Amino acid sequence: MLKNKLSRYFVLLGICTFLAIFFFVVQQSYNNLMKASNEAKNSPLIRSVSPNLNIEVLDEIEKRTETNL
Amino acid sequence: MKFNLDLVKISSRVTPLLMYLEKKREDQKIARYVEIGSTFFLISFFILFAIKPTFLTISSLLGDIKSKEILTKQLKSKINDVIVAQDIFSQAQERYALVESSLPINPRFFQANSQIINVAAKNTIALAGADYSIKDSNYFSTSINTITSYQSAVGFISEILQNRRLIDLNGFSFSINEDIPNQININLPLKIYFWKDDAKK
Repeated sequence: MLKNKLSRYFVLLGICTFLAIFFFVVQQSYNNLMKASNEAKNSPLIRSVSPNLNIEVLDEIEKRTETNL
Repeated sequence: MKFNLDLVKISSRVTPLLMYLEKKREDQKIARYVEIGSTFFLISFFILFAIKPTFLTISSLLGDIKSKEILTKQLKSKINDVIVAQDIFSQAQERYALVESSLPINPRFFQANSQIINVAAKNTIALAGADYSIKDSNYFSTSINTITSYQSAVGFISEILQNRRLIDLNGFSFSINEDIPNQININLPLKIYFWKDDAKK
């Protein structure tokens, strides 16, 4: 009877170990997958450059008179 | 009576056999459980030492591919932005002298001083001199205190504010001169800006 009980626990322990290791591997794999893309998103290389320059201000400066030295 | 005796005999022979069979069945059940448990442990072992490294490598590679795709996409748009910025910058560079005359890269006291003196001369304002003070900022300041007519003062202020070199007049004060008729005391604090290149490289 005791042997029977122990063998049932043995099966339960096997299933739990299997599930724990399975989820551990899945989680590690997912982390590896996401880590690289997160690093890429935060990379300083992809910091955007704004090409907008207010050129009109130059016309405004031109309109002003320059006092001759 | 004899029949009953035979039954007891048979029963006493069969009982140990049944018990033996029962035990055998129990042992078989335990063996099956142990077999299933061992299978799970073996699969776990296999996952841990064979599948895990493979999966980690595959996921790393997939992540790398994905990140490279993101980088390529973002860098393409960045390159396009840089090209547009270059075009606009070359347009601004053609007019660099204009920018330089308005906001020079160093204080250029002489230019500022000459311009203020010229504007004052145009408006018949006599300047005795001006003190310049520079602090750790993108402008230096001076203050003009003199006696002149109201029209000249207004003309001077108007020209100073329309001057190409960026000069800021932050408040001014007029007061009637009691010694000379039709003359006023003026006090003009001026801020003359320049481009201080302290941007982080």
